[in-house]
Amino acid sequence: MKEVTCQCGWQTRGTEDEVVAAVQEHGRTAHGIETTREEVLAIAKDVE
Amino acid sequence: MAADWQSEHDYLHSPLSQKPWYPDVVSQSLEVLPIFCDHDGLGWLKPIHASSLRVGLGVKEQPATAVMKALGVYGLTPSVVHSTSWRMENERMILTYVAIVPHAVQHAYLETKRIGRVALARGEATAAPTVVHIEQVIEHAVRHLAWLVSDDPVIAKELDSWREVLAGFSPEPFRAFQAASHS
Repeated sequence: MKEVTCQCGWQTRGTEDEVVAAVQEHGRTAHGIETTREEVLAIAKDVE
Repeated sequence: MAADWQSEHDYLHSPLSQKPWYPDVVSQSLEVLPIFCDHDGLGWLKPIHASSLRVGLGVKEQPATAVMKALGVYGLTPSVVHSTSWRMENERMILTYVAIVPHAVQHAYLETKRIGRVALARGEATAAPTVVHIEQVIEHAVRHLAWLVSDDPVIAKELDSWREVLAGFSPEPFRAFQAASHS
């Protein structure tokens, strides 16, 4: 399981694929930012 | 006699806690309340998509260091960092720190809120309040600052210009004694 918390407070948790997809969607819709899978995984932290 | 000895040592037959131990688990959630004071009074900053700024706190991290590091992401350097309360939320302990920042900042991901007055959340003698709203957490934090500014020399020096605005907040730790002294 991985987790990402955006600077805006938005948070997501799930499998690697789920988190990557969610972060890319959030970045695109909320902040107009395109992110790669590697960029997402670089800021994701492992959770139990 | 043997029966008394047995009853006194019954606790040895069961563990105090059944919680498993994880060496790297985040032990608590750290809540950071950046508070500032300007010509309109007190204000605070929150992420635009969350009720307050929350960061994880690792078992080897110092909370104050984690607070400074989190605010650094937003370009903020607090002059005072101080723990003011804790509470349980969704089975997780939230440890709250206030961080005094010089002014509101224009940041794409931060929202500025003014601080009004609200009634504190009250619990029982041996139990915390069941529901605590973020405005009540802030009220408690500001009352805590009001106490510190009159009790802690370091805080008093840093927040000397805040004395007038903090004077309106009853210092929470001494409120019961103040009420007694006026009766």
